[in-house]
Amino acid sequence: MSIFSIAKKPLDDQLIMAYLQQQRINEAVQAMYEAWFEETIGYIEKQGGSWDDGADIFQESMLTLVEKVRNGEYKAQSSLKTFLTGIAKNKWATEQRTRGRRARREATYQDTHTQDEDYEHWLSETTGQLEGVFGQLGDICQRILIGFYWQKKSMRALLESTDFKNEQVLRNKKTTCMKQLKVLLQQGREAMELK
Amino acid sequence: MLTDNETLQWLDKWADKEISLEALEAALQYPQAATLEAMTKEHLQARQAIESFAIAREVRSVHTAFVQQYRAQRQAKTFRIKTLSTTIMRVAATIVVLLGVFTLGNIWLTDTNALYRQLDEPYYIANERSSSRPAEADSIIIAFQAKDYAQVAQLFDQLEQPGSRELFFAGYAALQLNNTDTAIALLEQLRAYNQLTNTYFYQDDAEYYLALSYLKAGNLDEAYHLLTAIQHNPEHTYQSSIGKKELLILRCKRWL
Repeated sequence: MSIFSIAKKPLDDQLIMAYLQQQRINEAVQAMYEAWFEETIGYIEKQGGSWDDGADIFQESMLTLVEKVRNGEYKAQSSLKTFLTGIAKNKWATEQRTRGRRARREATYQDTHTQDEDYEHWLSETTGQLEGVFGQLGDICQRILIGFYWQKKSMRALLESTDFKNEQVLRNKKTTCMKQLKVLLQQGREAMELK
Repeated sequence: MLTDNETLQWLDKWADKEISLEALEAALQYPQAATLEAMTKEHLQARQAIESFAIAREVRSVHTAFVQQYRAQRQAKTFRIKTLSTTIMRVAATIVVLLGVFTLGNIWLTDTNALYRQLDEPYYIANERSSSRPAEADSIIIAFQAKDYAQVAQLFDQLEQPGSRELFFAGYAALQLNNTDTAIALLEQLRAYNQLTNTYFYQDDAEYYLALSYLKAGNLDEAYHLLTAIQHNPEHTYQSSIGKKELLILRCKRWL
């Protein structure tokens, strides 16, 4: 179905929340994109952002919404749309402040602090940190950990989708991956504390 | 001593709420309270990180597919609008070119004789007779009314002192006889005579037929200037006889 032909009918918040809790993230997120993406982009553009800014802000806001719904922070005091719009507005305001600060510093220090600033900005993004940590873990560990803990696959099912000899070898690898993950997360926390 | 695999299994059972904290403590062979707390906290955080990363990956995957489809549809929409406007512009351009070609063709195909025929108006005079005029003058009027232009020319030559009317009739007759040089000379003479005597008898007629004489003689510059002056003068008798189209054709003919 065409994105442009989708009627902007209100989504069923209860259904979306149920999908998010049941880990049917894809379906829920897809529905919210189709319903609210264009409107949010329009808001960001009106506030001086570009279309790409709007798309990035929407993606980040969607991630925040999913996490807040899943961990119970969203209390349904407002509709999901209002909630998402609020998140997007806050994120855009923060982004504008960051850009303003960066621009002022660049003007003052003639770009000498840009790298630090970018690193700081990167660290402030949880998603960014996780990307880094899982990037270091490697593809095999990502597949095993996500398959087992998120997709709730059994060791037998995981074995079929990997190249390991038997379940025991796979189990050993899973344990190693989990240990590495814990170490990397610990290092990340220490780095944050040092900052 | 538990292996790492076993420790992880027990921690997972506890995180999945299959066993209580006390059961976990027993399974892990009663570690120190602080150690147990650190292990459970670290394990929950790791599992939370896996979940967050998995969610981020799914959202990103939806985002990428959606944005790609959105951009493609937006481009297609823009392309359709662009194509439509291009088609409209092409049609408009074709019409303009066709009109231009038609106009140029019209100008090219209209020769000065055809233009002359379009502008030529027969001159009529009312019957009049005056005993104060010489007999030849009355004869000229009679010949003119009868369109016997050769007779008009002949009678004019016999006049010793032709007036404005006779000059005009003779000039007009010469034009009808295709004697454009004589027509131009006589009608110019009438204009000069009027200017000299500060009179305007047959002035408008003389100007219009003088222009036609120049046109017929192929002197397009003079014809154009006279006709333009007539067309721009709302009080001129022949102003409405000259259209913009004729002037445009004449103007272009001068350049070709």
